[in-house]
Amino acid sequence: MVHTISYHITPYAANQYSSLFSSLNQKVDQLYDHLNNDFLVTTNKVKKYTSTAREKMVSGKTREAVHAKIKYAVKRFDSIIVELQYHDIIRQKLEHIYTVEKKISEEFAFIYENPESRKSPYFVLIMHEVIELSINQLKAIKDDYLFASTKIQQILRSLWADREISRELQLFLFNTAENLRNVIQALDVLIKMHERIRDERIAFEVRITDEHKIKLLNEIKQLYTMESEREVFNKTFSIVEEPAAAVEDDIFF
Amino acid sequence: MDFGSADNMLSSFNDIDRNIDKMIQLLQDEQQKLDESFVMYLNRIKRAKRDGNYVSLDKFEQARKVFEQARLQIRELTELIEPLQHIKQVNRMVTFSMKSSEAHMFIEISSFLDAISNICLGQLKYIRARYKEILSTVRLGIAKLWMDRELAHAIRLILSVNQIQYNKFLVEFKQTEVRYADISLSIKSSTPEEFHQRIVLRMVSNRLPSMEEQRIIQTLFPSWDKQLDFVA
Repeated sequence: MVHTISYHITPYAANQYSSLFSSLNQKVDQLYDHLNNDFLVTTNKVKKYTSTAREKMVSGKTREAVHAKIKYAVKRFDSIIVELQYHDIIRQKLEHIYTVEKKISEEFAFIYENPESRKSPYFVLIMHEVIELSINQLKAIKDDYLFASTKIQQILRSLWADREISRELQLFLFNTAENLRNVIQALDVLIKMHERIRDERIAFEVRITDEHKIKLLNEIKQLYTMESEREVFNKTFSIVEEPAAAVEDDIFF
Repeated sequence: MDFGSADNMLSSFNDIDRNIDKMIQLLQDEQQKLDESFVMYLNRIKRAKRDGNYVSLDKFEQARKVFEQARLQIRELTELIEPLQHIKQVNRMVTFSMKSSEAHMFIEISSFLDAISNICLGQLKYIRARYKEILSTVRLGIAKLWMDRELAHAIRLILSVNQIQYNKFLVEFKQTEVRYADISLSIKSSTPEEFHQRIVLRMVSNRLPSMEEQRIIQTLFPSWDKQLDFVA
C-alpha cells in the first residue's frame, strides 16, 4: 500500500533533534553502567553470604536451631538472585527505547546532511508518539526498579535483623542506597529530557495517514518482548486489544 | 543534569572547551604522523628508483604523485583547527556574558543558547565530516597503490591511514555534541524576539568569519541578516 507522506523539517530542527536524540542514547548508556554497578554489588555480596552459609551448613558445627535459620537464609539469598533478573528485564526494555531513538537520531542527521534527498524519514514521522511512549516506558521501568530494589533490601534487612544469622554469616547490611540513587537519578534525567523535548522543542510539520502511523507504531510494538511493554504501549495509545481468537474447538464443542 | 543552572552550564562550556582542545591536538597529531609516514614512503620511492627495481619507473612516479598529493590533502586537517578555535570563541562570548555581573546580559544571551548551540553543533558536524572526507580521499589513493602488489612490496607499503586518531576524535566529538544538546535542553524554549536574535546571531557570526562557517549559519537561519542590512 502506498502511503501519502508530506513533511517539512527545517535544517535547524533536524540538526537539533539529531543531537538531542544522541544525547538521550548517551544517557541510556550511562544508565546501563549504573544498573551494572548495582547488579555487581548485590550479586557479589549475596554470593559471598551464600557461600559462607553453605560452608556453615556442611561443617555440622552449628546448633540445630541455627542450622535451620541458616538454611532459611540460603533460601532467601536464592530468592534475591531470582529478583535480580529484573536488571536484565530493565536492560531489555531500555534497549527497545534505545534502538528506536538511535534510528530517529540517524534519520535527523541524514535530513540535516542531505537536505536535497528525497528519501523519506521513517520513525521521525512519528517522533512525538515515540517520545510519549518512551516517557511512559521509562516511568514503568522506574516503578519496576523501585519495586524490585525495595524487595531485595527488605529481604536483606529481615535477615540482618536476626542477630544470630547476621553473626553466623558475618552479614553486614550493605548499603545499596547509592546505587539506587544513581539509577533513579539517571531515569529521572531521561524522563525529564523526554518531557522537555515533548513540551518545548521546535515543531515541524508531518502529514501522514492514521493507517501509516499505526503501521509504524506497530513496528515498534514488534520490538517488544515483554507483555508489560505491550501494556504500556496499549495504554499510551488507548488501544484495547481483542482477546485472542477462540480456536475451533471452543466454538463447536 | 541540572536543568537551567548557570553553574552547571558554565561547567558544561568548560568541558566543551576541553573536548575541543583535545580535538585540536588530535588533528595536529594526525597531520604530523601522516606527514611523517608519507615522507618516509617518498624516501623509499626515491631509494627504490635509484637502486633499480623490477617495478617500472612510471609506477614509482605515480606513487610519488599520490604521496605528494596526500601531503597536501592532509594539510587541510590543520585548517580545521581554526574553526574549532572559533567555536571556543563563541563559548567564551557566552560564558563571559553568563559570568557578567550585569544580570541582564546573562538573561539576553542565555535566552538564545538554543540557537547558539545549534550553530556550534552545525560547525562541529561540518568539521567531523570534513575530517572523515579528507581521510577517505587519502586512503583511497593509497589503497589503489597498495593493490599493485609489486609496487607495494618494493616500497614496503602498508595501508597507513587508519582510523585510530579519527575514532579518538569521534569520542571527543560525541561528548561535545551531547553537551551542546544538553545545554539547548536546559533552556526553556521560547519564540525568540527577532531583533535580539539578530543581534546575538551577528555576535556569533562575527566570531565565525569563514565562508563555510557563514554558510552553516545561513543554512540554520536562512536570510537572518538580510533585513538587518536593509535597515542599516
